[in-house]
Amino acid sequence: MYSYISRRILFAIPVLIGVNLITFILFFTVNSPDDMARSHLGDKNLTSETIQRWKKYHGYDLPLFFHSSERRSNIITQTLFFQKSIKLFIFDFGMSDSGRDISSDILQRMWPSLALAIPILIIGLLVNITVAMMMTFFRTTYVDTSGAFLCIVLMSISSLFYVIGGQYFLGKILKILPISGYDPGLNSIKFILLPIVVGVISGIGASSRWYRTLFLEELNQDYIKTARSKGITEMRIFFVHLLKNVMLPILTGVVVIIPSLFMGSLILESFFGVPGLGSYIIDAIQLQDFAIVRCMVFLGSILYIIGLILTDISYTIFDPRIRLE
Amino acid sequence: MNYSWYPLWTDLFLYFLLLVGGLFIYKIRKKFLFKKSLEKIIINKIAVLTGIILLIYISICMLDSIHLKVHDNKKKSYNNSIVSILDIILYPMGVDFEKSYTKPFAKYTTQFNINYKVSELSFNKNKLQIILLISGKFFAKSLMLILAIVFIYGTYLVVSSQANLKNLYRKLFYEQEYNISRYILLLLFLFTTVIFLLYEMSLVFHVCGTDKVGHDIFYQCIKSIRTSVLIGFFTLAIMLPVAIILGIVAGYVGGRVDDLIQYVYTTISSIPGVLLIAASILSLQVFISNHSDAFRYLLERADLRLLSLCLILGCTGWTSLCRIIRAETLKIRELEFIDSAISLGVSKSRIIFRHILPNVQHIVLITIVLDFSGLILAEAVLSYVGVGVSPTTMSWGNMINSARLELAREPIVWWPIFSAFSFMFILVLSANLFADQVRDIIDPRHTVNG
Repeated sequence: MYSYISRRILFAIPVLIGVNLITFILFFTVNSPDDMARSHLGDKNLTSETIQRWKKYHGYDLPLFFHSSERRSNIITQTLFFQKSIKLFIFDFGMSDSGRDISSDILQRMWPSLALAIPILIIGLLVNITVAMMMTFFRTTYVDTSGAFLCIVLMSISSLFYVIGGQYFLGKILKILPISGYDPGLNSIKFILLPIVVGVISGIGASSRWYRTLFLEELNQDYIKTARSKGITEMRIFFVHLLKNVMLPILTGVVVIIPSLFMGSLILESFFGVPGLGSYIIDAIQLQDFAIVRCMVFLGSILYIIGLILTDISYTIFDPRIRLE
Repeated sequence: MNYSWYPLWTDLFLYFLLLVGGLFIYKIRKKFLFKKSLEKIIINKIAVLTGIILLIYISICMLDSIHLKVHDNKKKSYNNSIVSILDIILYPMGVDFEKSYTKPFAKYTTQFNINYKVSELSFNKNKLQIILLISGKFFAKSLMLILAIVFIYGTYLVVSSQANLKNLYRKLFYEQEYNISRYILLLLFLFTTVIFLLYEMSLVFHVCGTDKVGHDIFYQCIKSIRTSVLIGFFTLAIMLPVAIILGIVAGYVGGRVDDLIQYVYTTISSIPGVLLIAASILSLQVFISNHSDAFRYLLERADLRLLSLCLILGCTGWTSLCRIIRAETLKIRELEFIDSAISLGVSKSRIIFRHILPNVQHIVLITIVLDFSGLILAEAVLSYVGVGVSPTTMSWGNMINSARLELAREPIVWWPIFSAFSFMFILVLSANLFADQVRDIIDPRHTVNG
């Protein structure tokens, strides 16, 4: 098993290099730093000096891959590719285009994102599994068919609608919760409650439907028939036999997204004014801050790959039938 | 006033897709499986209902995809003098502006429109009377239309000697066998009524009100259909061939090829989708602003951005389907009929196209419909983030984005956002329900258990 996992980790390295190359090509060769400077400074008739100064200030004045006028190792190190891309591997994110330290920004903004994402994940899982189990328990009755239909309706509604609707009804009409905002520390609870409710509700449709099919598939297995013929009550079959086995695909499906929780949710955070990484990304996109977007792309792919490796490991832990050699 | 044909790139791409799709259906029209599943879809009431709604959306998109250039400057000018057939049909709607917000079913106030049908519906009548008048007229019109269809259908039955004049009535209205035809006729009747009614009303009222600067919301909603449907179609058209071919090749050939393809899709799927799209769109914006001479019309720029958005969505979207198809191919590869094909000396490419491809078809078909609705929802989110279609393109995402702060106004302005959400909801719900019904029909292994 260890050799399998170490192989998976080794496989991650070329993937990360690939991601790095793709982002580098997108950000530096499709648009030269000159274009970037021009779109940033915004003026139509710029002198080349202003552009040079902007590039120098942000460290974009180096050549792409080879710096021929430098000596020895500097040929490689004094280039854009080394300075801006390779350094990401040692988590040196550098400065954003507006001059802030990206690493400290990320460390600071990580916690609000997690405060939002973890409750949504856990409560969402509980709710979705409960709903899916109810529909399976009442299968072939109107509870199930109307539930399945309702799930399709719920998943056809745009997530923006949930956010705007939640803000309108809970925040503006009923005035239970503040519409948006954030406070550090424990005060944040009243602010993140509404995003959590919205996040959970918007996820119910698709997930419950998916879990329901998992439950139904598992219900057809032979061991359920055996359990029934042995006279075990339906409740026990559902909560002991069925639930345990269905949790396997559900949990392994969830493991992939756990590391990505750090990245936060784009829509929820920016709508509710939570200063997490999701709203950080949106701000960066709207300000056209290429440095931040590049770092977040890299961070996101690292987290996804960690998720993939964790999924493989969790298979071996949760499912005794799988032996990885 | 004369028009000349002025196709945009997206139009040409759409025509091309239609041609390919048409040829594909023409080719498989006599295949047993195709006919069988078509028969099953036709008798499924929900599938028929949602299918008709999807067809209506698609045909509006078609009408909106034939662009003409106007060579006349005397007439009240269009935005940029390139109009679509749909603009001409809806004529006064997109051109006539109010001063600011007006509520749904507010009458046009501009002089221009009052001239339009003043003889027929004198504007002294109140709103309800006008609505009743129009409804009555169009109820009658679509009733006539449907009677005509019934007449043609009855004639067809008689001519094709499935019925004679005596039992025609019984066949049309009572017999179980013709249940579904009656249902379809009823639906057609309802839809034509609603469409004609909305159309006629739109000539007199702002059916969904107007927005902040006085533009008609109903018009914007209808024009947004094209954007959404095109994003769905184009993205699928770009991702499907890549996903299918790479998936099957990876699964069937294996070895180094498999490793390479797996590497490529892991790399692409590990980049967060929104960020990749954002990066590409940001790059594109810089590109367009540096080459602004090449695109004379605003519409052309927006068109290019729409096309490249689809390209990027396609590039990021193929990975999941590719993974599923690879796994399915791995399973199919081990089955006996592949072994027997190999031992009979069938070539690799023939095995892939004749034996494996038909067996992954149901996955592809379901992905088409599900991804279609997913893409429409994604468009709204992307527009909100600011990396969707160009802000000058009419789309539901842009409408929601510009209207989301209006709920906070006093008195509340709910109609722009509500209309956009409803139009989007109807399309996405139809696609999802259609997929749900059709999945049962075309997936041979699907079991609804009891």
